[in-house]
Amino acid sequence: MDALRERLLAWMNGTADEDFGAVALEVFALQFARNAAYRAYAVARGRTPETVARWQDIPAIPTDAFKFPAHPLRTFPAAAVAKTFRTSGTTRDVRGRHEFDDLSLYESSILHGWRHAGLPAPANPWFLSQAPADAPDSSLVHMFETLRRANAPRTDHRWLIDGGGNFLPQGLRDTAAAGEPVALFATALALLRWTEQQPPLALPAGSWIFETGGYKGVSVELDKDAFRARVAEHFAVPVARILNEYGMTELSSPFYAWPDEPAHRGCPWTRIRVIDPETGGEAPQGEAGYLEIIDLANLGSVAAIRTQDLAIARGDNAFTLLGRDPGALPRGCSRRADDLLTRP
Amino acid sequence: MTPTQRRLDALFAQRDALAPWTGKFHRDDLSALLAQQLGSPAALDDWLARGDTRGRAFPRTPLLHVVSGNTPHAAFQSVFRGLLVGAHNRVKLPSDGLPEFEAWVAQLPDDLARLVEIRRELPDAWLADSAAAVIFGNAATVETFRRLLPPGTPRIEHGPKLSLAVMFEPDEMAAQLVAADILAHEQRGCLSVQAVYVDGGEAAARAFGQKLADALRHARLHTPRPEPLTLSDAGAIANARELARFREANGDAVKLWESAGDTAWTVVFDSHPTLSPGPLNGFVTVHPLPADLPAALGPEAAFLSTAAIHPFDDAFADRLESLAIPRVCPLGHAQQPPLFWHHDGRPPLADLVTWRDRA
Repeated sequence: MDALRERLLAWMNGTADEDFGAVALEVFALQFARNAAYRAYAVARGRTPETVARWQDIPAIPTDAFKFPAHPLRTFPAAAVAKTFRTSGTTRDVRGRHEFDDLSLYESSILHGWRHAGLPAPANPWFLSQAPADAPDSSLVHMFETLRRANAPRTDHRWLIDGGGNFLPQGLRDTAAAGEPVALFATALALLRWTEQQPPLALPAGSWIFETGGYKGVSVELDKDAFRARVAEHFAVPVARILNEYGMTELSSPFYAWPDEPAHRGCPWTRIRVIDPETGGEAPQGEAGYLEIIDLANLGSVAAIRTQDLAIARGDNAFTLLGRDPGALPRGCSRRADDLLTRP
Repeated sequence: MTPTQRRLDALFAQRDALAPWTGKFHRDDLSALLAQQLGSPAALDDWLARGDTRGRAFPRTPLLHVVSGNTPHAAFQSVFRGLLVGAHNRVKLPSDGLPEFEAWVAQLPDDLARLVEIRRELPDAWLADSAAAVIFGNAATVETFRRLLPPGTPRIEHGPKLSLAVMFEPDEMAAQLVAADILAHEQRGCLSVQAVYVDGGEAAARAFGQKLADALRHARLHTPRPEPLTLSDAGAIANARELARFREANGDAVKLWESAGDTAWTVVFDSHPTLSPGPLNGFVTVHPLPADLPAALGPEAAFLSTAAIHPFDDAFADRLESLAIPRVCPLGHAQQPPLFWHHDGRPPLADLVTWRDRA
């Protein structure tokens, strides 16, 4: 596993090149051999390293399968677990667990995926979330911290929600007053709450916003355009400068889209496929279906993940996101911030 | 002839059109229903002696009905009751309509037609001055109308419910009957059976799962889906299947039976007794019948509407008493509630009237 990890890291940082299809089959073989819960599922699907000859046939595991601690989806023993990210959820929900023995691929995928996507370096980042110490099992907060350490290592106290769920707006206000452009990272839900509870705050010219997650289940009903317009007006940031990230706890690699882009784009070590749920086969080109993602940075768990989001394929690793399956139980990164925010 | 008698005659004349949605009825049944719910078939027409006073029932009118699109039953039954008590009925239909109900309204004779208005969009005036509202729908719909209606407007709420079946004798006949209760209206009604509990332990439940799979497979040959599922509906089934497959493959006491190549029917045996809403459209779970029912079934038991049992016997029904399910019925009849039933445990006509006394 270490050798494969090193090859993937080299691919990510650009010192080596790999053929996705070939590496994907190696990753599948490794996960089949070492991840007992995944192996059992793959066998039940009739998919083994002997029968899978192309990455398109690697069986994807449903995200809800991460909710069964008795069947851990990892390639390493329990004693080697170094980090566990948990899906958000209310107290009645069962939370999924994504376990890691090593975060090097996870963090490398975030940083080099950022570069591949051609995104601006966040030299002055602010995070509309809790600090890592207050949310140690949040994959999103870890992503934020990874970006902060890499791009602005001397910054600190950039977390705009305290451990009790209250906004801490003063630092961002002071920065805005000083005129330095800001990169504001947030869940869509936290942005919505901020715009409800805080006075408008004009960020300096050149600022931009990173938003992720949905906001279903809150009292307001806004479509995506109305949401962006509201955020743009509140922070005096052009709509075109609001980046959307698609990610989830069960994945290591994010996908990004600016508002004027038709599809979310992933990095070279990811692939997507869109499945017709009626037949289980791939949806015809250009038609909607369920999004499955093969993320080779998920080396220690399962690379092939079946999401509960509807999408249209736009190439090997890009898709137009149609949104959450209304039939699925509500979940998403945004719920964490929402649950913790103190209502006025 | 009193106004009530004229309405009863007019409704009786509609019996053939109404029968698929209300069940068959005679003219005398309608009088008896008024007598049972309001004390007398003349309660809406006369000041009748009631103890030391005289009382008369008056319909809450105009009466707003908010009906869901999963089946037309709710619309037919709710408006039928509104007409029985003489209310003016305003019916807010789902935005994509309710063809069977709209066709029925279109052919009503003048004396009933003038008492029924239907709209796909909700007029503001209906919210402002309706005397009461009967609301069918999911939790979001119920909550929406709590906010929209003036605080003083009485609401008769029929929020999301689910139903189950209990096999005390899990034979093949039972499998065929429960298959009908599962597939009727594509399992989208509150009376649709979503889970089957089998007396006799895990082995009996697992064996019944196989029988039920055979029955559903056979039933789908004769009654295929009326229309393809949406992506979301098919996806919900596919997701639930894959999760069952994952658990079964990993040694949980779970067994999956499924139609090949499509989502037409699915049976999941699960030894764990927790009651959970499923993805509908021909998806059912089978569990051993636990001893401590309320605790074993969990919080969803509070949303039960009907238990269809086999055989239908008071002694068996009594074994479910701790669940306080509003209705227990014979297997195969879950989707055909009787005319006199207490819908979700409520007196359906009594809710639609107010009383004035003269003493």
